[in-house]
Amino acid sequence: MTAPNATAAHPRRFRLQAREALQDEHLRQALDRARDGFVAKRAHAVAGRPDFEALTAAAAQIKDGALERMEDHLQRFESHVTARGGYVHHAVDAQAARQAVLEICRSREARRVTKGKSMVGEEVGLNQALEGAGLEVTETDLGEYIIQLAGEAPSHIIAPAVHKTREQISALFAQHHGTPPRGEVAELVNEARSVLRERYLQADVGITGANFLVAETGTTVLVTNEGNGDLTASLPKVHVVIAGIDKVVPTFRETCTLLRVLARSATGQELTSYTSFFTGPAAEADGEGPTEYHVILVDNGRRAIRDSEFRPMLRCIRCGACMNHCPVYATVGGHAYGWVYPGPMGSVLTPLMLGLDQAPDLPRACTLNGRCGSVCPVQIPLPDLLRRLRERQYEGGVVSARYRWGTRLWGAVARRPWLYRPLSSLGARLLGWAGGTRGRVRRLPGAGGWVAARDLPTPTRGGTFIARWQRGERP
Amino acid sequence: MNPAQATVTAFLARWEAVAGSWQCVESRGRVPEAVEAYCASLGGATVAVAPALADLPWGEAATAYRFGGSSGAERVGVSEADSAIAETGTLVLRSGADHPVTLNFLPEHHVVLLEVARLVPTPEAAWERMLAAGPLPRAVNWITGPSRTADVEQTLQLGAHGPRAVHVLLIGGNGLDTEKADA
Repeated sequence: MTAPNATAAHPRRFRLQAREALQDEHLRQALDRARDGFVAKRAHAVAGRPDFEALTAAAAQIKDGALERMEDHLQRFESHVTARGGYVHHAVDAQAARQAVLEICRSREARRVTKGKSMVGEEVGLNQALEGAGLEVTETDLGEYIIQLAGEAPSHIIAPAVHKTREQISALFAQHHGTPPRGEVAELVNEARSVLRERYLQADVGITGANFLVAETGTTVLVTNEGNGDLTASLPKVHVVIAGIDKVVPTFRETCTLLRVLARSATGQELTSYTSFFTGPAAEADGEGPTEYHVILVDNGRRAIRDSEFRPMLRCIRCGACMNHCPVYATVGGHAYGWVYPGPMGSVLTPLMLGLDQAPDLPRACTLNGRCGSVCPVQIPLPDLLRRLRERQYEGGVVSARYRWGTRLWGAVARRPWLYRPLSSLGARLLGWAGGTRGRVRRLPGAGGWVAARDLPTPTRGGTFIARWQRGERP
Repeated sequence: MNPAQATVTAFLARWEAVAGSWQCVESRGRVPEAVEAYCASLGGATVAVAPALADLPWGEAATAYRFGGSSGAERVGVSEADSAIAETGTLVLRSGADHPVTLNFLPEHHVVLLEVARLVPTPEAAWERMLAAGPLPRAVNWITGPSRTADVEQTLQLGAHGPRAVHVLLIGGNGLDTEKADA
């Protein structure tokens, strides 16, 4: 596994990172704006497609079928790519993936690389490896370019710079481009367009991800709005595609169903501006395009997940809907999660890929409200998987002694109604007395974590819910 | 066999919804003047045209046109769609020696010929058609409107890296745009 940078954010430091995020006013503004945009757009797009629920069920089935026979599909995919004159590389882990890409660049004496956005590229630490080898790497997705300038990690899987305000972006451009600061969005985008244009034309190698790998013809599918993926894939002499093995889909027909739910869930569009399908290198006769085509198939723990009870997580088509609807993500943003994948899907993938002990807080950074599961276009039972991770962590001793004893004590009392009822009744009366006529308390010994930032509402009338219900009261 | 009128109308409605523009052109022979008019509306432009379209009756103005891929210097690129998808308002283009993909991405404006007969209802139908035509080209591009981004403060901006504007020349549309103007 590629470990996060030791001095940078890490999933183990979630609590600290979350607390820092809560103090960041710019971040709060940016997250509010992003959330409102994404949620509304998705809702509108889903409303425009009355069979959307049925589509998500079909999409889930397609992914399950693909995962069930993944090895067959991967073999078929590979044989088609090879028959077309392309090369397939199998990368068992992050290091193998980095090595494969570096080797391709070395053999071509490449100096400059352009990149389309690739989450698996971030996962394996590709940019660091390329830059470490002396290559000039330019991220071409505008959001990725912005965070590359800022030296930051992406904070969202489809809108990597969602945490940045216009002013922050303007300052970054002015600093790195040596141009006067721009005020308008249009000006900023135009400036990026002309700066990046040069990089596209000079690149020796173009690296893209793939949203899907179509086994029936050995075709990689790339979904973008900017067209940066296509310029990255088509201008240099070498095109490298890097993708997780879980992206394989048997046929085009099935890919069409997945495409129907992908953009709607991500940005509220029916399709993004560009959906491109790449099959092999260019022929001599084409006169343009990459004459060398490589596909790096990355495992990095995916086979292990496939063989576990967490297999449904591999259905993920990386739309970002779960994090857009997550109240925790909406409050702390992506960097708090400390790795490549934030939000609900990140809270499942990070412990599975890095180890349960590396991300102890992530499965618990969740209110189990269930919105993530209900908006997932491939019906991944995210709350379920998060709960199961909590169980694995408890069994694996990845929780603090205080937590373990606290839950044991609570469990012992809760299993004994003859003890639970009078104790909670007493507790309700004490709280009610402490709250008095105000109906809330500002301080409560033992509940410091809660009352540090909030008042605790207290029962103003005596009695527990059960007691009142038994007396015949109804809400 | 021409697609149903409803399919054509559906395609055009979706195409407009994604900020694409279009006009009817009587026949392939009238395409060069439509391209000239488009360039004139921009106040003049350098043009690159797909070699597949070299046999159209290009006139005087075309002596300055480049027939081939875009070098990055041309303002308008002209190519032809292999088909189009009504469900999503999408143009399907294939790469090749006579259809360089640079025309789809480098110029600021992309003018695309579309024969109405090539319109299909769904993405699945577009793939059936493509797969039936033989081995796949290196690149198949589905283009659903101009290039765009919302990476700066969620504000939509067209022309991120690819074209700012995509204009369809619909051939065989039988005056649909005049109907629209009258409506």
